[in-house]
Amino acid sequence: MSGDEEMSPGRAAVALAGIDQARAAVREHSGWAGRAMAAYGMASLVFFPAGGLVHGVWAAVIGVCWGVFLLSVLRYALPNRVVGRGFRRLYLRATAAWTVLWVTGALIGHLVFADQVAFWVPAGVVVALPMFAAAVRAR
Amino acid sequence: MSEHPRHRLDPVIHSPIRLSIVACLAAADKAEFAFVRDTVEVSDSVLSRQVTLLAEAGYVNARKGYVGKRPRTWLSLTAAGREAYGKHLAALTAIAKMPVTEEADV
Repeated sequence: MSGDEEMSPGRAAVALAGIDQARAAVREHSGWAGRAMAAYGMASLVFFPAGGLVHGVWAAVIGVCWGVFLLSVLRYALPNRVVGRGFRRLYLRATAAWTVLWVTGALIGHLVFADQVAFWVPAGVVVALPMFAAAVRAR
Repeated sequence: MSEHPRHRLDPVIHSPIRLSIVACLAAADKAEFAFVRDTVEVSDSVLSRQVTLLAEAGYVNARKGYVGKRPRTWLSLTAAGREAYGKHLAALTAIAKMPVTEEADV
């Protein structure tokens, strides 16, 4: 079919099928974003409580592990060739919410609930929520 | 009698290859040149030519960059491109829903 030919219902249906195919290809190849956000959420579950409960040398080890994790996510994300529709906005919103929760939670934790597992572990879940929500929406 | 929906088809997007390119980019914030090439199943030169036409129409943005030492070209739809695609899609959908008996008159 050339661009100059008239468009019949049959040809329109074929064109729409082609559009669906292109959409499916993009959806298939943009799944990495959801996986990266889920990994961020999982890491928050571990690193946020660890940041409040671990001291001394182990705190430094946790810091290094967090850095390695961030680099790994970056290394995973960079080679990907497509960013799904709306992901950039979703990422910015999730990261903003996650940062606010992390900083607020850490401040409250260190000032009021130092070394209290009953605060740091549930707070880690709350901190991770924006990333899990973004992971679900990015699917 | 209302205007036939074919009059609302966008002449730039109407070409099958350009429609595939735009459909691919409409589903993404941005996509790498090679990804679009593989998805649309065309050569580098064909894609490059079609992207140039779409860019001249103001529908597509092409941005060059690097990932490490590798050069990459990222393609994305502009707001005008997204709007034109939306209207083209609506026209296509309207045509596809038309009774087949009218096909001979199209």
